[in-house]
Amino acid sequence: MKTSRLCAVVLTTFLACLPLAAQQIVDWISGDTLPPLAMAANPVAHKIYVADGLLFTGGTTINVINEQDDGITDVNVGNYPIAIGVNSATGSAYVLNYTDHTVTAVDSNNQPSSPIPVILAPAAVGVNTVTNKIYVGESRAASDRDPWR
Amino acid sequence: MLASLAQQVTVIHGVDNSTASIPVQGDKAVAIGVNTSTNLIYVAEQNSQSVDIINGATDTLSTSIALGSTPLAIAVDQATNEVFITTGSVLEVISGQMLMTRVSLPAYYSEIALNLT
Repeated sequence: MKTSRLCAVVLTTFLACLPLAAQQIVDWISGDTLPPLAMAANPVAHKIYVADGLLFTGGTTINVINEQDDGITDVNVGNYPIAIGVNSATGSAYVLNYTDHTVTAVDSNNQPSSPIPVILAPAAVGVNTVTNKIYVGESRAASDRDPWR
Repeated sequence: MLASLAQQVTVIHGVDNSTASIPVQGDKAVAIGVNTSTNLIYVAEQNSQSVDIINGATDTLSTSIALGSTPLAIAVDQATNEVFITTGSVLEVISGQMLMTRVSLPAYYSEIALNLT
């Protein structure tokens, strides 16, 4: 008796949550509500860069937000943009495409470069704004098998 | 092959997007900090529990500093030439290229930021 009552409560709760869950899944698939994978700011140009999150796979775009008018520009990058480095001196942003093993340079006009091949699975980035050099670190352990190659 | 590939940092020259590889000692980078004044690049490495310091003038490994545990995040104070690395429960402080201080943290911290003003 107790068990069945408990089951009823659980089932009712589950059913009540279903519409919400369904909407969330739709949003997840469309890539709109998952937490972004990375963010970076250019305080000189007043831009914010946000890498789209997408369930399991990561996204293939970043959003460039113009702080002055809150306008958003979508820029196509590689797969699974996981980190963004900004050179506020040149106005360029560097997007690390984790599963592509490439970096996309996005210039001050929000134009993406062709993919720049780097090491396996890049995930850490540091920018020297004085020398205009961008340092990209390997995120996978040497002992790890690389499933993408 | 993979081992050597993993233990390197790629430098992109912003002027023409050309690249070069910098062999490092550490394994599995998680965060990179740059001091533009000294032109040193600090790469926090998780598997080797270390920080690789790259000389940006030559883009070669200058030294590697062993930490006691796995680094999570890095922050650079150019004014004091100090580098702060959190390993969760410990804050490691590097001055220039020397590990100076190890501070126990009261909780588990996975991110770090500096107030420079």
